[in-house]
Amino acid sequence: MAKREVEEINAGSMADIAFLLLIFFLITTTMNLPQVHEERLPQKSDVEFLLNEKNVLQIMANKNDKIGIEGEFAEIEDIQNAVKKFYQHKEGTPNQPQYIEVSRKICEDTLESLENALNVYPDAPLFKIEQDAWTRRLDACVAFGSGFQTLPNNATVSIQLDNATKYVTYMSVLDQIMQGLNSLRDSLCKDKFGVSFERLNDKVESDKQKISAIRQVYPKKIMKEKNRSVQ
Amino acid sequence: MSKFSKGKKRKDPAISTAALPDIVFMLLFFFMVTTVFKEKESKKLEIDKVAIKETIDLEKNIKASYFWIGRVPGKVDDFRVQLDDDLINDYSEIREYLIKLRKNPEYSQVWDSRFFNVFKVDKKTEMRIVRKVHDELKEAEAFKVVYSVNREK
Repeated sequence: MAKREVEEINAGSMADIAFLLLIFFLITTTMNLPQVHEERLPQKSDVEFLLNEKNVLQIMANKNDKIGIEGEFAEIEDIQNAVKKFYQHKEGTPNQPQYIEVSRKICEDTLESLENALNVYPDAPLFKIEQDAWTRRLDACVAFGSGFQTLPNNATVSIQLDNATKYVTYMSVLDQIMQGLNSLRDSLCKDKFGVSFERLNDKVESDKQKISAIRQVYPKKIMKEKNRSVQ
Repeated sequence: MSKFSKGKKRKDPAISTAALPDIVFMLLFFFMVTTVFKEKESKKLEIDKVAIKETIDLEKNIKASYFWIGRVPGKVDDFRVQLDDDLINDYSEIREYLIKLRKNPEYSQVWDSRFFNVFKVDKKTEMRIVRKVHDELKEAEAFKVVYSVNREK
């Protein structure tokens, strides 16, 4: 009697298994994106800005990479606290900037008067910038459900470097500033939205609004001063 | 008498290879997805990158020009700038290069949104060099700069 023929294995489901594996790896694999610090260079301009001493937090690094804050020698780790104090201090502290109040009503009133001004001077770039800024502030008020205080427009952290300052010092100063700023943002975020700032994802629309709102309260404002020899 | 001999050795049926393409495609896709292209590196300069704590991800799908600032291998304090593929001899070459780049519609369309100048700078570089490059960027109206760093844990 002849042997029974071996039946062919059905390979139809192989594709399913393959796709299952493919999808599994697709989901679980994460790519490591290059890590960077972003900076926007200022427009080339010869206009000198007059800044109120109070509204500037001055950070210096000399040719030996020694750090100075507001004219006094300091350690690099001190920058973080100086930045925090600059952005968040008790109203009326001497040598610190005065806050401006932002509330829904103030935003709406300002936007209305800007609207009127723009009707008269439709091409005034300054008004348009102001309009953008106040629109974002209004959005922030809506997101928080209340008004807030923030630094005036001309308040800024200023970095002065010597030509011979090392790049690593510059990066560390920027890092310290961002660490100070992000810890303030983080505590505000936990307070208002109950999540940490890092967890917010700017790809999600509702998170994006929150990020933008928090940035209105603690904006990143860094100014680099022109070449100058720092003692 | 028959043409076919019966009852002798019988061959097993061939294994179906229909699923083979699936497997191959799966592998292909897998490697396509997981491959991270090694960050561009300079062959001409030695660069010891800075590590900082607060970093952000570099955006995807960007147009970029790469600046390397580092030491010429084998020499002590000879810092040079490399822009994309070539070493720069005179800083004004940067301006010319970028202005030429911007004439290309592929770049001009995204110039203010998705065009970045990626800096990879050695720790010990003096700021005067970085500044000179920045000045050239301003001349060419390329304002977006990112500094590539390592993330410190």
